[in-house]
Amino acid sequence: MQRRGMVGKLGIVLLAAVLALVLLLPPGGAMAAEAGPIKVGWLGILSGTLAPYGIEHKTGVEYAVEKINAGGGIKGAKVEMIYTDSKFDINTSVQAVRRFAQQDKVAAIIGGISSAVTIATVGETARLKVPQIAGLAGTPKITEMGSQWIFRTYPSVILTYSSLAHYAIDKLGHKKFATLAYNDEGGLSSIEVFVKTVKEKGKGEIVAREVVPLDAKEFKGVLAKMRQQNPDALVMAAAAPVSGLVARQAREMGWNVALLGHGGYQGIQQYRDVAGPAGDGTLIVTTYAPGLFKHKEAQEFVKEWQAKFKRMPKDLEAHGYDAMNMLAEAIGKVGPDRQKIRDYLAGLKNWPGAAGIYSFLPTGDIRKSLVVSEWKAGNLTPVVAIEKTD
Amino acid sequence: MSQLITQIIYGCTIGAVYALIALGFSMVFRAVGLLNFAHQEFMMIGGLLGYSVLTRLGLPLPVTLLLITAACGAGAIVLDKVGLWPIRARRGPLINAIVATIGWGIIMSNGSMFIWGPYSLSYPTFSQLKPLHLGSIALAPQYLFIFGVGALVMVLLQLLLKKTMLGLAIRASAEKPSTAQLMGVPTNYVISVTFAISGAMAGLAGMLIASLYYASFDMGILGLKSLAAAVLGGFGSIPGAMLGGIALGVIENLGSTYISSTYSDIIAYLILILVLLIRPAGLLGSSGGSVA
Repeated sequence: MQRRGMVGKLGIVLLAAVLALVLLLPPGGAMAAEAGPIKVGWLGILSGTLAPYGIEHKTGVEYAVEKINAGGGIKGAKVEMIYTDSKFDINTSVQAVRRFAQQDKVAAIIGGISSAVTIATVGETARLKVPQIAGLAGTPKITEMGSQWIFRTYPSVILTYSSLAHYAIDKLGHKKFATLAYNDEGGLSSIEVFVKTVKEKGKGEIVAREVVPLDAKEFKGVLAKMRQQNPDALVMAAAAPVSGLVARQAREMGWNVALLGHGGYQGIQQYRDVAGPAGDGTLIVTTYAPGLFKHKEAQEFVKEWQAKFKRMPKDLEAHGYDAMNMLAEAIGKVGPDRQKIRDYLAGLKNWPGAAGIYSFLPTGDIRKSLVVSEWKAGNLTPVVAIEKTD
Repeated sequence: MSQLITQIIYGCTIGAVYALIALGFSMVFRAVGLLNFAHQEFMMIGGLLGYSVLTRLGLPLPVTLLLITAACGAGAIVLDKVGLWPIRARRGPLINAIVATIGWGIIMSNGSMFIWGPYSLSYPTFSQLKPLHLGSIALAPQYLFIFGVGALVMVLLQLLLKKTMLGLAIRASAEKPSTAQLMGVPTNYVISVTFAISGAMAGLAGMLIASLYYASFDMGILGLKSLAAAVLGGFGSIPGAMLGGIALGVIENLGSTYISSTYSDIIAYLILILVLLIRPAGLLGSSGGSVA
């Protein structure tokens, strides 16, 4: 009785071990697992007032994935996207990042539409060691948090306002600048980098520097004060409608100073709506204009996009397309290994994409082609491409 | 010097708009002893409704001004009858009525965001850009127009209060409601009229300010500054509200011109507090109804 009992127990243990092995082994063995789809997580806003930005970026990513898979995938493996709505909510976003990394086992994450939400995910992707390419986050902060795992394809105000300073001095010949900043992170950091660039160039000077409260609507006093310093150009960085008021009030005072920048990617048209004809002539640095960049990849992208969608590609569509292709190139070169993908992206220099030529800095921040645009008769019109920034 | 004069004129213009809103805070306070925190939202509604009427219906500006003024006056009566009077009639605590006004204010502003969206809507009129030159002073003409309308309305209000039976009734029921009622003043009717006047002036102020800047669902915050103006002038005092509004407008503008734009709010409020420390009842306030 004793012996038979022992054998019985041993048999059950053996049976369990075999069962466990069978369940744990992937069907078809290790080879088949490698040929499975390569998963990529996409995180962005798909509902609420900011949804148009998320949808625009997603459209670009989808188009890139469609082309990659139609061409046989990445070394034979199809790309499988997992799209998640961040709902502009920090908690939802952090949860999504965890699920992507631990459950879905994605190779990388594309996403982060809006600064606040992206900032919250940077720590998490660093902790879980997943490469993340942010989509649209204007704040410089996300690539200043010390994470090795964050990259941005869409430039922050650091790049647009330093480029604006270079252009204003080198091409427009302005020497004396007055600056007006909204008292928030976007306004202050934009002007800070503008001032820093002017000082580093050593060719221009800042003659007046004003910061206005967020509820300010009357700027004639501030403008009169700045006017006394006789600047060549007034540089603005505020919400688009607020800068519109500044422009309108400057002209109402009969002050014909050159107007540069205005800030507020969201609802850029509101600048001109509020400023009225006073907004015409304002020069700003934007991130993309279809057809303006001359390199092959940018030209071909516009042609193919037009054939498929019967319209011009938008700013975030081009940037989303680039983010996905950049990632696909990395995976194609080094395989779906997170650490290797990160290292590959970090070394990317002069990468030609649809929305310009990209180079990553060690922080994950980007240097890429930009566009100088001018408000002309109510429309934001591209003037000249800045093919490379440094 | 001409710079100083110009900035004072601009300050007076904004101040006149502050004053229009401040008057409403004061009048309602005198009539029912209530701080109405939904009041500034009538300014916002006036601004947004005015935008819709001007752009959708294409009515001329003077007609639109009258229409919006009337609509906001009617809206304020509805707010009182539906949202505040029931609390008063059942002798609910004053603080509950005040909290109710805060709630109505939030509902109005968020509701407007659903209707008009989170955009800054600028008026089609007043787009002429040529400044008016008076000697060495350059002025945008709409500032003069706005100051004129504001001043005219305030004069009319003073005439109404001082020279008419209705005005007498308003002042009497504000002074001693029970006595006024005994003397045959229909106090409930008078309270409705008071709400109507305050709402109408806020709506008008909203259109004026929106024509100068733009209309948006969150512009009520600007109207809330008028409460400070009313206190500066002496809360409950009607000439005080006018004086306080204009004083706040001028102080703000001169502060940002000659001291710092960053601190214009801090400067304005420091001056307000300083005035209250020296004259606790405000510039023209009576000592009646003191803190203690």
